[in-house]
Amino acid sequence: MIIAAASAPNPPLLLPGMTGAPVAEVEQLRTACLAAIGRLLSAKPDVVVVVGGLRDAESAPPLSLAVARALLAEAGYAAAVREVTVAVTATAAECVSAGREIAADGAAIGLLVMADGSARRTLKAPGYLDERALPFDDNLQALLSNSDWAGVLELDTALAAQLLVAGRAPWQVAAGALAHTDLQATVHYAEGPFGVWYPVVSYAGPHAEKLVDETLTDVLHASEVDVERPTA
Amino acid sequence: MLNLGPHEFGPGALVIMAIVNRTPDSFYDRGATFAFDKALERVASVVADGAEIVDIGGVKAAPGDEVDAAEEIRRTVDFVAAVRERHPQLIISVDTWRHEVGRAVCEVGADILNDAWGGHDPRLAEVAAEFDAAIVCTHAGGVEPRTRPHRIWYDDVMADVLERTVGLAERAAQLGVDPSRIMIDPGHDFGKNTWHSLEVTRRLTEMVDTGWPVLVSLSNKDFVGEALDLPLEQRLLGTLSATAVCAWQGAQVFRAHNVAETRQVLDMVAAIRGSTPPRRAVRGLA
Repeated sequence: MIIAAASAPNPPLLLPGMTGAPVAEVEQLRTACLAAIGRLLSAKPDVVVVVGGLRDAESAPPLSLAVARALLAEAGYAAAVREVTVAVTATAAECVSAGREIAADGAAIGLLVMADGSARRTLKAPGYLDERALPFDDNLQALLSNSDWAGVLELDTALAAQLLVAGRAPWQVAAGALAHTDLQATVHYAEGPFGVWYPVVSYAGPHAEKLVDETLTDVLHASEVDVERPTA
Repeated sequence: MLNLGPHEFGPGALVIMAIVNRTPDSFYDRGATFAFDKALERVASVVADGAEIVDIGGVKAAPGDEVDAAEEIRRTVDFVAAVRERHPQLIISVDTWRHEVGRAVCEVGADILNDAWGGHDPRLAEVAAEFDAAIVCTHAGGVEPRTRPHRIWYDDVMADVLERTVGLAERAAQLGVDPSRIMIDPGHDFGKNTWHSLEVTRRLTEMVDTGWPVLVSLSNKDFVGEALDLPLEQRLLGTLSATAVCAWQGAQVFRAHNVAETRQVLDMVAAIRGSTPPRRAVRGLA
């Protein structure tokens, strides 16, 4: 039974020390991730199940799990973790099946999904600008913030791949796992400071303590600008 | 370990000693900071640019108008006192070969005696010991202060540099100077032609390997000018290239005119070496 969940992106930037000196945009993102994970952990799950994407021929641990481990450690969580990877090319059917299997466990589960939106949001984005990226991410944000799991399962798999949406498969696993829950979303962060969309969302039961977080207000009002430095 | 004034520097630290001339005739600035207030402005400016040390000099290195000890003291002592008052934590060095000057500046707060003429006055190290000051032991090939090299020849210039600088350093330690406050300097262009200065630059690791912290004074010097056949005002890039090469080989203290540029070069060397992380690494990591 899933009692709480969180979705966080998994750029290498979130690995400890990866930016060299701290970089403000990354620290803001990290703070939001820790807030979302903190909300998940406050539900006191028996186990945290991490769902991460697995890219082709990725060495162990894959990036998604490495970032999840780092964030859980930073959040001070040292209890039970189960890690589930899903090929980033998995079909929606495969994903939903994997998600149902997770949810079938009788333990009180906190689900942590590692997933990012498009990497083609701006001219400086890793995948260069694709005009379809922003509408795609906007739609994703609506689905995630409304817990619209049926909508998540209907995402265009081919378009998601073209837009370098690394989180499509992990989100569809979450959709399978969360389909019959009534968890309410809190969006902690939804920016793309480097041309990649990083949604940070937590999900808690209707009776969970309402989140009051002043930093969240700042995050939600921050404008989205591409601040990536010019590169060679 | 290098201790200068109240500051401690680890083996990987890269430290800038900014040149502040209280001279009317030094080769690079030609008297720009001879005036008391101009020199104070220069100190504030180099501190803002990232210098940890200021090196105050009252006598130009090259031959020129006679400056006796009394005049050198007149140019440096009140100024050192004023800098100490305005910058309590700044490391103050004074470029002098005379023990009378060394004593007078240590009494008003100087932290380092930069003996650029290779121990010409043997009592200078005694003054450093007496005041627990640091000392720079420089190779000048045994020449008289304020002379130009003339037909100087070495069988092996680095061997001479090592013998003289390490000898001076060991002597200073025996006289009671704290060993962590002793630096050695190959003395670019001092008692050396351009071939010699290039060779000691190329072989600087031999100095680093002695274990004494190495200071280099490269800034806009003639060996840079002759290597590139460039006049004084066009030697910055050559100076910075030599700075990077010396830093890479393990030099720790860099006596410089152009502080901001030197700081950037040293920060880049530290990043390449891996001793300082990049300020902002995001490319390819989003």
